[in-house]
Amino acid sequence: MRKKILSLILSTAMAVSVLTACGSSSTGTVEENAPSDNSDESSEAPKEIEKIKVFVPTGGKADDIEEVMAAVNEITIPEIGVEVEFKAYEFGQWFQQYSLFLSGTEDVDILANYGGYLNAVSQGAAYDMTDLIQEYGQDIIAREGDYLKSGEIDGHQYAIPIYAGYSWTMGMIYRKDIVDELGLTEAAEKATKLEDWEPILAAVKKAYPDMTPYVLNNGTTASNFKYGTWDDLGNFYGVLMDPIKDKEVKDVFETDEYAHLCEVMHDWYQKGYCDKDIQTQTDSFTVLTKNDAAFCTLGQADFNTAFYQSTTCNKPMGVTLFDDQIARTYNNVCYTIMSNTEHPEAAMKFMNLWMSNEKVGTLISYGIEGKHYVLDENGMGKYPDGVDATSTTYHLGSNLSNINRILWETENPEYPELLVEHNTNDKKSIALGFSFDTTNVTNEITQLDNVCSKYQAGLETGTLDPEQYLPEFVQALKDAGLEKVIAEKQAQLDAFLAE
Amino acid sequence: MVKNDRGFQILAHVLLILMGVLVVFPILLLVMASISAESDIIKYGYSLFPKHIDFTSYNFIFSEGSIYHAYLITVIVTVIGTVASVIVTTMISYTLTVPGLPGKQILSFYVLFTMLFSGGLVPSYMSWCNLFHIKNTIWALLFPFIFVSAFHIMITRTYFQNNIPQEILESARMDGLSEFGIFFRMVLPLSKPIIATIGFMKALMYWNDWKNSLYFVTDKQYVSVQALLNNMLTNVQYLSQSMDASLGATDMVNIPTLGIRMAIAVVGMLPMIVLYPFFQKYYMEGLTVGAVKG
Amino acid sequence: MSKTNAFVKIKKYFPFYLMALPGIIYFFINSYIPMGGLILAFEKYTVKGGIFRSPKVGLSNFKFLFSSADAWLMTRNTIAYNLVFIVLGTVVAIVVAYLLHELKGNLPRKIYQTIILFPSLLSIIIVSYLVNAVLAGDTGFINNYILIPLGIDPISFYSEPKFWPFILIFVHLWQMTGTSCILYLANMSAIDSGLYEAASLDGASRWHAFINITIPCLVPTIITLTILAVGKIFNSDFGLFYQVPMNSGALIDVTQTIDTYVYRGLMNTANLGMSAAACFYQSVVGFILVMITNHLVKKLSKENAMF
Repeated sequence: MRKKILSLILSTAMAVSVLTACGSSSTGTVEENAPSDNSDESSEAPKEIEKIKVFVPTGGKADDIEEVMAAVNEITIPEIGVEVEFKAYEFGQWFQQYSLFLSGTEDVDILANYGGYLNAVSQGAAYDMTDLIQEYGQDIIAREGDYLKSGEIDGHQYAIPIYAGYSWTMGMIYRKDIVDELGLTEAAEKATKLEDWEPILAAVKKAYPDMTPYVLNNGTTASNFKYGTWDDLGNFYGVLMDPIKDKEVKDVFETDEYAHLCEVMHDWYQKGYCDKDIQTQTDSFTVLTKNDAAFCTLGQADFNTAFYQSTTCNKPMGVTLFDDQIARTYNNVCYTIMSNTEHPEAAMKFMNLWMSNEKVGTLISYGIEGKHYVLDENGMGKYPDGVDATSTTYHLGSNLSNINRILWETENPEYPELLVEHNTNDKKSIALGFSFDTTNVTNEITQLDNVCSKYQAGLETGTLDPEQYLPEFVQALKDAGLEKVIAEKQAQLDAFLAE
Repeated sequence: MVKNDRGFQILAHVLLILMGVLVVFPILLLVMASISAESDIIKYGYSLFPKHIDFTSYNFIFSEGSIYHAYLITVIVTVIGTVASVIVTTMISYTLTVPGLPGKQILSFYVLFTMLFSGGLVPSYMSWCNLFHIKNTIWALLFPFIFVSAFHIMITRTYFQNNIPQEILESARMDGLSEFGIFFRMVLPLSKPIIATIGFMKALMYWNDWKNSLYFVTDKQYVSVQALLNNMLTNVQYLSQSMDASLGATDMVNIPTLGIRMAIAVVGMLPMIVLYPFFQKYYMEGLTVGAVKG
Repeated sequence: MSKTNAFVKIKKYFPFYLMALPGIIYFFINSYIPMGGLILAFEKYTVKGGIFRSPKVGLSNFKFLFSSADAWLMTRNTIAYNLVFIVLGTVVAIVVAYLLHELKGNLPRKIYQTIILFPSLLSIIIVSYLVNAVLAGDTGFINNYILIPLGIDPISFYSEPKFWPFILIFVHLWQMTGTSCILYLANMSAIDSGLYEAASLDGASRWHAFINITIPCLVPTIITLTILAVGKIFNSDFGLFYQVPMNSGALIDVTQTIDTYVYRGLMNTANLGMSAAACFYQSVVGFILVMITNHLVKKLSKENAMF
C-alpha cells in the first residue's frame, strides 16, 4: 500500500514538474531566440551592415557586454558599416574551449589567441590576411610597423599581435620590503644568477617560517622556466641560446644552462624553499603574495614588472633581471580571423579600428564612462565610487587591447612612452619577427607536448631529481621526434634570415 | 539462520561502521570547509572542527546570483531530460517485447550494437557540432551521449517481459483500445518501479553531468551547477595567467575563494542527497529486476 | 491474398514501429553517424574540409600514435585499472552485500545501505574536491592531522605517482561499491532460505554455507556484470583519471588512459587527427574484446551469454 501511495505521489509530482518546467523553458527559449534571429536578418538586409562576432578571454567582468557593444556599434556602424558582437570567456573556460574553437565548430569571425597562434595556423583555422591588412589595416601597420611580423609566417600574415612589451628577459620578482628589512637589498639586486638567491631564500625562510620562499609565477599553467634568457622561437622545441648572435637552433633541454637551473631548483626543493605541492600549485604568485604567503618567483620581467607587480600585489616589489632585455617575436596576445568566416573584410576593418581608435579601445577595455569607469584628476581610469573589481558589471581589462586607450589608475603613467622606447631601442633577437610554422610537424609536437607534460613541471620545480630524470626526459623527447622539429625550425629560420 | 553467532554480528557492524565513516568523512570535511574562515583553511588545513564558523561563502554565492541561473538550467535539463528519456526508452523497450513483431531481431541488434561499438568522443563531437549544430543550445545538455542508453532499454525490456502479462494486453485490444492507448494507460502504470528506477538513474546522470557542458557549451546562459563547479576549478588554475607581466595591465584579481568553491560544491550535491531517500526503494528494486539477467 | 495479409500485418504492427522510432532516430544520430565519423582518424583535419573532405593522410596518424610511448602506456593503464576494478569491485561488493544481508534487524541494514550508496550520487567533480581536501599537500587532512602529528614528513601526493594506483582504486571502490553491492544483495535475498536451513542442520559453518550456497547462486550475476565490464575494458571514467588527480603532469604515467589521451588531444594539443585515431583504436579493439568474451561465455554456459 505504502509503495503504491509513494509511487502515486512520485508520478504526479513528476508530471506536474514536467508540465511547468516544459512550459516555462520552451516558451522562454523560443521567445528569446526566435525574434532576435529574425530581427538580425531583417536589419542586415536593407542597410547592408555586416555582422561579426569576436571571442576573447577575460579575467574581468562582462555582464554589461551588450550595452557596451551597442556603444561600440554607434561608432563602427557609421564609420565602417560593421556591427560587432563580443563574447568574453573566463580564463578557465577559455583554455578548455580554445582548441574546440579552432576546430571550426563555433560561429565566430575574430578569435583571440592567448599564448600563440601556431595551432590556429596548423589546423587551417587562421585566415591568410596578407592582402586584407594592406587594404583595410593601414592604421595597424602605421602603429605596429615591423612588430607586425610576429603574426607572419613565411610571408603570410595570419595574426595581428597587440602592441605590447616585446622586450623582456628572465627575472626574479620578490618582496622588496622583506629584503630591505633583512638587510639584503643589495644582495638581491646583484643576484643575477639563480643560485645567487640561495642565501636570500635561506634567510627569508628563517625569518618568516610561515612564508614559502619560492613559488611558481602562474600556478601550473606556465612552466617555471618558460621565460628564459633564451629565445624559444614560439615553443620549447628548439631555441636560440644567445638570441643576439646564435643562428643555430638548439635543444634547450640538453644545454648545461638548463641542467643547472634544474639542479638549483632541486636543491631548493630539498631544502624546503618550495612548497611540497609546487607541481600542482593552483594559486598565482600575485594571490599568494597578497596574503603574505610567498616571497619570490621567476618570471618574464622588463622595465614595467616592478611597478606592475607592486600595484597588483599591493606590496612593494622588486625585480632583478638575469640578463639584458631582448626584443623578440611577440604573439602572446594576438588576433586571427577564422578561415571559415563569411565577412573577412568586415573583420579586418573592425580590427583596424579597434587597434587604433582610442574611443573604441577604451570602450572595449573599460566600458562606458560614468557607468563602468570614471576619470581621476590625472586623466586615468578608475572604478566609480562604491564599485570595485568584484562588483563592477563591465571591465574586460586592458590586457587584450592595444595601447590606444586611457590608462588605468594602477598603471605606470609613462607606460606607453616607455613601451615604445624599449621596443625601439632595446637589443633585438635575430629571430625577431620569426614565427614557426608547425603544419608539417603537428603530430611530433603533440607527442612532444605529451612528453613535456610528464617531465617538465617536475624538473623545473625541482620535484624530480635532474640527475636521474633529465637524461630520461631528453631521451623521451628525442624518441618523440624532437630532432625532426628542430631541423624543421632551423630550415625555416634559415629561410627567414636569408630574406 | 545459522546459530546465533554474536561474533559475526559484531564483526559485521564494525566493518560496516568503518565503511560508513570512510564514506561520510570526506563529505563532512567539505561541508566544514564551506563554513570555515578562509584563513583557517590556509593556515591549519581542512578540519572537521573549524576554529571559526563563517558563513560568508554562502552569503556570497546567494547574493552574487549566478548560482540561481545555473540551478535553473540544471533543474530544467534534469526534468525534461529524464521525462523524455523515460518515454523514449520505455517505448522502444516495449516494442522489443511485442510477440511476432517482424524485424524484432534486427531492432534488438540495432540497439545492442551501440553498446558494443561506438565512434568515440572526437567523431561524436564533430558530428553533433558540424551536422546538427548543437553548440550553445539547450539540446546540447539533453541529447549527446546521455539521452537514451541501450543498457536501460535492456533492463526495461526484461522488466516488461517478466511483469506485463500478454493476456491483459490482448483483452485490452479486444476492448478496442489503440496500441498507444494500451501502452500509456496499461503498460506504463504497471511499470512504475522500473520507471522510477531508470528515471532516477537518468535524473542522477543529468544532474551530475558536466561533460556535455564542457564540450558543447560556451554560452554563459546554459551553464549548469556542475559545469560551474568545473569552470571554477579550472579558472583557479588559469586566472593567474592574465597577470602576465608583459601585458602591462594591472586591473583585476577575481578568484572564487576556497570557501566559495566548497560552498558551491555543497549546494551542488545537496538536492540529490535530499531526494535520494525517497527514491532509494525504487532504485534498488528496479536494479534487481534488470540485473539478474541483462 | 498474401498482399492483404502483408497489409494487415503492417497495419497491425505500424504503431509499434512508431513507438520505436524516436529511439531508432536517436541511436542513429548519437551512435551510428559518429561511427562514420571515425574516418577522421585517416585525415589531417582542417576547418575548411570538415569531417569528410579534409585531406586524407592514410595511416600516418596511427603510425604516430603507435610509435610513441603513449600508446602502450594508455593501453596498459586502461586495461590494468579495469581488471583491478572488475576483480576487486566484485569481491568487495559481494563481501559488503553479504555483511548487510546477514545483519540482524532491518533498521541498521537500511541505514548502512543508505550511507554506502551516498557516494554514487556525487559527480566526479565533487569527488575530486573531496579527494583534494583529504590529500592536498599543504592543507590536506592526511598531512595536517595524521602525518605531521605522527612526526612523519608530509607527502605531496599530487606529485608522487607511486600512491596513485591505490588512490584511484580506492576512489573507484568508494564511489561504486554501493550500487554493485545492491545487485548482489538483491540476489542473496532471492536465494531459497531452505537451502541454508538444510545446510545448518547438516552442521555446516557460516563460511561453508557462504562458499557452497551463496556464491554459486550469485554466479550468473557475476558473469553478466563481468561481461558488461569487459566490454568496457577499453573505456575509462574520464573524470576519475583526469579531474581527481587534478591533471597533474607528474602522475601521467599512472593516470593516462585512452580517454584522457583523447581528451588531451582534442582540448589541449588541438590535434584532432591523432585524437580520432585513438578513438578508432579504442572502438575497434574494445569491440573485438567484447566479441571474444561473449564467445567464451557462450561456450561455457550458453544461457549467460549476452547475445
